[in-house]
Amino acid sequence: MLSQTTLVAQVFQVYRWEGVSFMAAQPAKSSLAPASLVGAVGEKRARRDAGTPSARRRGETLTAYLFLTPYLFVLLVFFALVSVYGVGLSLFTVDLGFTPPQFVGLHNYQVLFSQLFTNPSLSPFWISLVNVIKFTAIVVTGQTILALILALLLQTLVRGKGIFRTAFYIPALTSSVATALIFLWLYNPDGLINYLLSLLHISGPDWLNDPFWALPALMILNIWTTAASFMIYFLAALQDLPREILEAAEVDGANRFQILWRVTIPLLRPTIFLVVALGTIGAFQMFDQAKFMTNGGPLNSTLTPMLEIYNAAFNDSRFGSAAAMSVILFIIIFAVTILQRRFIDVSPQG
Amino acid sequence: MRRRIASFTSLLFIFSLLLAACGQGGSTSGSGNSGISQQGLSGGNPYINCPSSTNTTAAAPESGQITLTVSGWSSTPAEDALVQQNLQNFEKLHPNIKVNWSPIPGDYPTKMRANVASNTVPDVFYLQPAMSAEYVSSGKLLNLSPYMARDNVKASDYYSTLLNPFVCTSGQVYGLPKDWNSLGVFYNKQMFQAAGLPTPSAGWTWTDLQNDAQKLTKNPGTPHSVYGVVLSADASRWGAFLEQAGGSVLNKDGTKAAFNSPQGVQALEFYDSFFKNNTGALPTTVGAPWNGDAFGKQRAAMVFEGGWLIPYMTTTYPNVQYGIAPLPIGPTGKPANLSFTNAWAAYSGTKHPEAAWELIKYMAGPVVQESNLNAGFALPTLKSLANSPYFSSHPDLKVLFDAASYSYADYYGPQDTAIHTDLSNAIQEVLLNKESVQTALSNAETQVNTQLQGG
Repeated sequence: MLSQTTLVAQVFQVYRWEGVSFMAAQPAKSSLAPASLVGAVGEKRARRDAGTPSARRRGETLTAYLFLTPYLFVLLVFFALVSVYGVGLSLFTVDLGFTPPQFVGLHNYQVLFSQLFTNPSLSPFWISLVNVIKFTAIVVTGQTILALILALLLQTLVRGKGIFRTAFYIPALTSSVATALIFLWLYNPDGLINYLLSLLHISGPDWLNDPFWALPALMILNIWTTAASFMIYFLAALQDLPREILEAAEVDGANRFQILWRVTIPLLRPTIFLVVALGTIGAFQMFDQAKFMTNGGPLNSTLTPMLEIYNAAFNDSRFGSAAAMSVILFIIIFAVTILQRRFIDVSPQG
Repeated sequence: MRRRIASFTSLLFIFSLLLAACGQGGSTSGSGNSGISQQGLSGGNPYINCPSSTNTTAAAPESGQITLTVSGWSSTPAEDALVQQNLQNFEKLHPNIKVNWSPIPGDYPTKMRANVASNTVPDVFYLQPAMSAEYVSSGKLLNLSPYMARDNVKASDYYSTLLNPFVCTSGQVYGLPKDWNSLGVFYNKQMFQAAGLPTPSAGWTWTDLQNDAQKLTKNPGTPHSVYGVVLSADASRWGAFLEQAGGSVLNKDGTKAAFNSPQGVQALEFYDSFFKNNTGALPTTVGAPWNGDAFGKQRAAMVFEGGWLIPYMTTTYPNVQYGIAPLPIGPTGKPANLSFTNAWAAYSGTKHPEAAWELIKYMAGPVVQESNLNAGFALPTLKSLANSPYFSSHPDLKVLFDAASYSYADYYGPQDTAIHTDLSNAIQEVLLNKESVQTALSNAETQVNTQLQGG
């Protein structure tokens, strides 16, 4: 049980961790430290290392690992081991405690792929993947653009920056279940959103119970809650932009739009990649709102892979099958992230 | 032995789940089930396989001090207080047994699964039908039949539809139903009066229901709509109409879907007729999270719900005047209903099987069940309580109780949860006009059959 939940948590971790490593890598790349300086430091260190006995160097390495031990231990036990365990789990039928696990080889994958090739519209997992791809495409686009716009607006503000930044950021601080509950009321057929629409003489849909509108409703909610946190990334990046280049552009007679389009946004590229990658990873793992607001319905229109994995494991006690779905999902997210890196992030080492 | 080997193989690979994987709960000794009386059951439940080994004898009473851990859930503080009161009464009757009541809040089946995986299962606990097949077939539950034979508790003391979900193919009993509910037509008295309609009564038909719904519907499709019926796309409601039409969800031995039949089509067309005629709506259409709330908000003249709606109306909508009528009679002319029940069961690995049985016998017995009935919480599962004085002062509850003789358990074997989901989706597709009745049922049939084959 515990391992299973940590497995699911680990699947999250893998992507998060992947994301964090990008994050860590980005500032280094975008920082404009002169190459010569970096070279000089490196050279100096190399010379010193060469001058000391290799035993001492080994001692230093050992110390480093000693300092890393607590983290490595956590990483090994709760990440590496559990990930391998999850992949292993996908080769078994497991119901946790009721019957002994049985090795079934690739059977769990076979079942999933045979559903894909016979009638994917009857298979919850493949339905959920289609849903999440739509969801990701729109949410990531929406939240990135909205976050960028909010950040640019805040950047140009002279007064009241703090107030607006706080106001924009509040959705990101609120627990997702709390916002989900609030939006349950807003999306009610007699709720606030439909009331506002009725003022415009539009009769609003029954948002969360209409198979057509339920997923868009969740998309809107998601864009609203996540744009705020990504706005902070953009704000930070905007403040880091080299003034000289912007000033040079101004001196050359570029207008504000041209500066934005031809200088600022290209310079923000590493951050855009970061935001898109993190957003994609997050969107692919959407679970809480689908679970609490619609529980995957109506007609599986908001079923996401994470929710289906949860259902398969904990409702239908098909833990092996759930693990197989996690592995497929992992591969998809991994591939998408790599692709994004190729297309968006064109910085030298990328 | 084979179990050991299987566990060992997995250990090599799944070493981090060491304890859970090999910790198969110790089912007590003995093999086969020859020669024990099945206490009045002529056959078992074909949906649930019996465990490969189980206890076949009743353990002798223990003399020392015993502590039993008991788990379940509680819906309200008042219900919890009554359970505790009854457990205390049990302790008084059995001075050497101490009962440790630890209710499990939240998602009960999932948390119990965690307990099973970590081998920390309570001695005695509530068992939902959806949990039953897995727990029974894997030998996690104490076989109660030997104890019932010893103490002369007959399976036939209980309504068979209520006992059935906790019985395996050979008729061994693994849980005693603690209480139950059926569906009834909750109708709004004022609306019926205003429309000049006689209130629904026993023997009214599908056609009567459709006609009444027509007359009771006002302003459909507007923010102030009142619908004749508010219905949910739920297999646990539609199932009753399927049975009324003479259909069934699964075939006799539970190996195949049987709902894709002329009867199934007829039942689903009837269910959908309220939507087609604009005389019915989903609860969400009138801004209610569930049928009962739509009824309380007076946006529905009728809903099909169970006894759980009574306390909800009393606390949330005390001013609504309502009555309860039996479900209408379908084309077969025979009444049919669904039963919803939960059982008391004991863990096969308990150190005190005899004491566990004593507790189950008491908690599912007439004294406790009558106390629950008198508190208005739930219907008794014992036939002997059919003429309880409480019923004469509460005729509405009697209406729900009388369905016991013609109810079918809302329970479909090991794939219960998945079958409910598939069926509910099919119903929803039809109600939302996304799919024809025939296609929706065929698709659901394919899905259910795949699941039954272990897909």
